[in-house]
Amino acid sequence: MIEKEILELYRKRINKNLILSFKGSISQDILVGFGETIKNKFYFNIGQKKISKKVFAIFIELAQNILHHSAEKISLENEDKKIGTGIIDITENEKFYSITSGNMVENSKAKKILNKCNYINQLDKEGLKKHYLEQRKLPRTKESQSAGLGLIDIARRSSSILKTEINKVDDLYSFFILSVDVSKENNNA
Amino acid sequence: MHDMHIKKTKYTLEINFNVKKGVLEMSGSSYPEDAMGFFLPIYKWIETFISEVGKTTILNLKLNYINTSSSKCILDVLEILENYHKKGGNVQVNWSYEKDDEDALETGEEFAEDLDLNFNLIPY
Repeated sequence: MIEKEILELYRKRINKNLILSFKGSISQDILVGFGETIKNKFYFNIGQKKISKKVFAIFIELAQNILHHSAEKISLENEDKKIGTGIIDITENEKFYSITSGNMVENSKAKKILNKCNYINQLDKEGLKKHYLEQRKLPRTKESQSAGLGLIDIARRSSSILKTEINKVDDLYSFFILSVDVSKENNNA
Repeated sequence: MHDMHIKKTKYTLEINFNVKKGVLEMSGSSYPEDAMGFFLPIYKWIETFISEVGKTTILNLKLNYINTSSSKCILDVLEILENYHKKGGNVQVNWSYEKDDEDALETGEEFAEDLDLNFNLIPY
């Protein structure tokens, strides 16, 4: 009864005001397509340009995080590279939009990511700016072309804390969930 | 040395570098999978332009959205020009932003603060 299950899921999701939901490998093409979906969602809503840009930017950083850093990867046909797999959701309620991503990380890296998020969460607006500019001057690492700017950028654009959760899956991997809210109230323009 | 022209895509910038005029224009959105791959030829062109032509250089930036790895690449471009400026080169950077886009203005201001360059912030 897979059809019924999918219908159920669809109804449940509609109730949550789901704008976008995806589970799978995130290629650049998919990410660009979803970016268009987000822009279209806001296109006819006057006064939502600012919030649209924020949701779009946060989505791109989260999606590219999965593409580059998910521990669960698939190889692309005819191409000598691998892309990451994960989930990404955008939902809406009366007060804010929530953007949530989830992907596998190596247990050895989980703590480092959490520490980074906790450090970001205790910074105020000025502190975040300073941290961002300092990090941007650092050399790129083998792991990251952006010297780890993504999480700081997400925190700055959302003006909310980075809500994180890590669930250990087995001896090697954990599932990492990151969620941020973008307030509707302060972002009308 | 030849001009450089790259057409824009949804996620890469339009590039128009004119040797004769010394005007370098970059516009659009930038969030490619491999930002360095896109920007490497651009660094190379600008470095060659500085060493071979070495005239007054105007960089016009009209950026809509840039992801974090592209932001780092734009900083690289500006640092190349900053070095040229420090050695006595004439450099002007014009940062255009949509007038109600506070984030784009802030991004421009932060580049301006971070660098020793003549930096104009221009609303449109």
